[in-house]
Amino acid sequence: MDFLANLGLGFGVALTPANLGFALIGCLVGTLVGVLPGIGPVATVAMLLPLTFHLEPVSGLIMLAGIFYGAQYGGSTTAILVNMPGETSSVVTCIDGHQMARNGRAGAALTVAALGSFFAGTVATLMIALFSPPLALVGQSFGAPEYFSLMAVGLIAAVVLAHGSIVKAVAMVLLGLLLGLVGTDGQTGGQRFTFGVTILSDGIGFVPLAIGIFGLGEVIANLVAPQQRRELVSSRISNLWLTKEEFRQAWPASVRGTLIGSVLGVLPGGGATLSAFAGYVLEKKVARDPSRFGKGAIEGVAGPESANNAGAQTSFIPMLTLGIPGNAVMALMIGALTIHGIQPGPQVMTERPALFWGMIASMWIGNVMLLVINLPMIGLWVQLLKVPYRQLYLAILLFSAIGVYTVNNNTFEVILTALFGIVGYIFIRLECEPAPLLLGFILGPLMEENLRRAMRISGGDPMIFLNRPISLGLLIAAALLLLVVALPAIRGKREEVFQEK
Amino acid sequence: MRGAALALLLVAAVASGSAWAEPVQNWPNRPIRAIVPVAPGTGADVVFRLVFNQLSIQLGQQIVVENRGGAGGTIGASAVAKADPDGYTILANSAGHTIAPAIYPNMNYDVTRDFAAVASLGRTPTALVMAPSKGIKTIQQFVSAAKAGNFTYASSGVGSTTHLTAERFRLSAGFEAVHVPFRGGGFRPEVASGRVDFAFSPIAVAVPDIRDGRLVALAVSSQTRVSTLPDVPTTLEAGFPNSDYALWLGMFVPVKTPRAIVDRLHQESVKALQSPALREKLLSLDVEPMAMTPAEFDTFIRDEVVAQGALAKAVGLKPN
Repeated sequence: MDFLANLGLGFGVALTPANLGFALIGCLVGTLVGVLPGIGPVATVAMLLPLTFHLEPVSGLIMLAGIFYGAQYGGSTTAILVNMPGETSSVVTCIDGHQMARNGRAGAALTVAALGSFFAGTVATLMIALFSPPLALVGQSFGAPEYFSLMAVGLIAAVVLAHGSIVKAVAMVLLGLLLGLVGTDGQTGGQRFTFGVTILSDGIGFVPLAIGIFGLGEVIANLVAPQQRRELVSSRISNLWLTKEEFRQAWPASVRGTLIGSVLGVLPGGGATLSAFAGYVLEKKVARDPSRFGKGAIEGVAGPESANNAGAQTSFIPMLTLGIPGNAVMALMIGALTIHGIQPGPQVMTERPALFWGMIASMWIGNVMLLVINLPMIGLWVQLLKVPYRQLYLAILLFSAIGVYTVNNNTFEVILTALFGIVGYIFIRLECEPAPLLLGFILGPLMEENLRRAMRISGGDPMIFLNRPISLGLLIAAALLLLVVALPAIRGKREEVFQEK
Repeated sequence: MRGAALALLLVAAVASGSAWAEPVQNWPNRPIRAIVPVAPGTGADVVFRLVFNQLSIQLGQQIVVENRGGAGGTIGASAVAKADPDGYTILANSAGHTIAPAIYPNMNYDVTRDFAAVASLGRTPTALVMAPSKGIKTIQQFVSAAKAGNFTYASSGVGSTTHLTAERFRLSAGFEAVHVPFRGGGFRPEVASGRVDFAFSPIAVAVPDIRDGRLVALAVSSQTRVSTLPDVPTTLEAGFPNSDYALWLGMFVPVKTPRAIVDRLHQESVKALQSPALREKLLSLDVEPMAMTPAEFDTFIRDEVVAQGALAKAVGLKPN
């Protein structure tokens, strides 16, 4: 059987001592950068890129890939412990993950994140091995109209993310859209809301925004709170392992997250972030008691954490089979391949089978390593919460500043982060959820870009969105979702979904 | 009088900066910082890193690449323009260097006056590609079809090389087309599926698709034919004057950097580019040699700034 022969070839490559070593290095480095707030895999992979000049292409790729998904594992750690998303993809983990930590269930949250990620990683690796060629075709059939319609679904779903008032959620999405508008107009090159600041011509960075609004806002709120409340987290840390009840709630969420993440990860530009958001929305929808979300529901950690890991893994499919980078790390991987004279594309699978399958096999091995690295560490991470907050917050601020600076080597973004920190604190006081804002911020520009691109391609005919079956299907889904949110007849049910305060 | 002149020279030498605090012949005695104003892992970044890797070995000092992307490369270039002219800060930039003045008139540096050109590292031509399903086989067929109907073309962004190459060819061949800008190189599937009619794509990226029949190459934008696509004519050969265009890559230092350092860096770069390993790697990336002395390269930059400004104006690219 072809599939088994391919996997055999892959494991043959991945299990050589040298490649095992590179996978381990990648996983360790990845976990480390994931745990440090702000320092993301992009900067790390960029720094390590020159190292791969001297390595076999497959070894280099295995190491860089290890950093990438190692960071996905590590990113959830800070999200849960200090409400600081290390990566775009762990933004939603903050919502319920950090609440779990506040409830004294930090250990359980970290465990479920690690186990969920491992499960998702295993399934996604299998999916890559089995379905790469057909899945690549799905990615290829996604053009500008399909992306626009997908983003429309995403934006409406963003409202469901919030657990406060629906008006506030819509306002936050709109604010996110406005912030996303800052920068150079991609279609004309014109400047929008940049006020003559050169660095703003590329828009507001995601990292300053997320770290400021989530992380620093939380730090300010904690410092404002009386001493007693601040130390609350550290005083009641119960059992690190999952209770039976938690496990029963978490595993179906993990399975659902894995499936949705594997599908969304394949779309170029989709990847881990969209997967995590989608995983969270799905969990909230299928939950018997949605009011638990936002207060430390374990499904709100298991679903998105499985989804983002699955999405991160399957985002290799467009990179390896089409040569299209779904995110910045994938772009760096392409760089690492081109250095060795390998042009990523459909030919890689047939011309360099050892590279392709070796890489896939190493993904699974990397996931095993990460589980082994992360599970014993959980006890240690939780100890971190026992550090007095007056000391911990200094470390958080320092690492955040370093992390933000390393993205573009720019001090302006550090200042921007501080400003967003104040804004984040105001949001906390106003009880506005920042997650919908971030989704609006990420999806808005993509939606606009694809809308205008589609209109240019069609010569100004809006029917392009309805004539294409995938696009039409997505738009119908968006309309249904909107109906659910807006229809007064089901207001009673909606109140429960959004749990008006 | 001669004594006074000498004293004046000395004063001038001291006044022109602390940069000369250490003797030029000791350069380099500490790591050199190379600012690359594009995102890591992109085509140009890969080439720069390969060149700096070889240069580091030759100079015996590490060259540390610092990616400072943003605003069409002007943020990184601006940092180098204001850096100490001591030979420890290098700018590695691409054709965007000379396109920027046409798009960003509020730049806080002057491309022609603030930099000394050190070495041109090479150029990468692009190819006009199209989906095979369009049934167009030659560049002549293409132009007559383009004149008949409104074609769309993809590029990696407003003011990018792929955009300006297409515009230059469009002006020369005399047809109208709708520009569909993408962010970066994500336009390949759109062109391969025929949803967007054509694009000028960097050749190294397009070659596997062309070989496997997912894209057809109708012409190349370089002055001479390209070794990886020997059967594809140049746009010049096909009878379209002033339609050649190539993405060049080069190295610069702040203009006041001592001449001895510029010359040394130039010689080492030439030596690096001629080393067989690097040469082969660059050729596999379709980076063709583009030998120029620093003076020739300076002149080239000045001409390019004028030419790009004129092109931007001709195609109605609005400066901000």
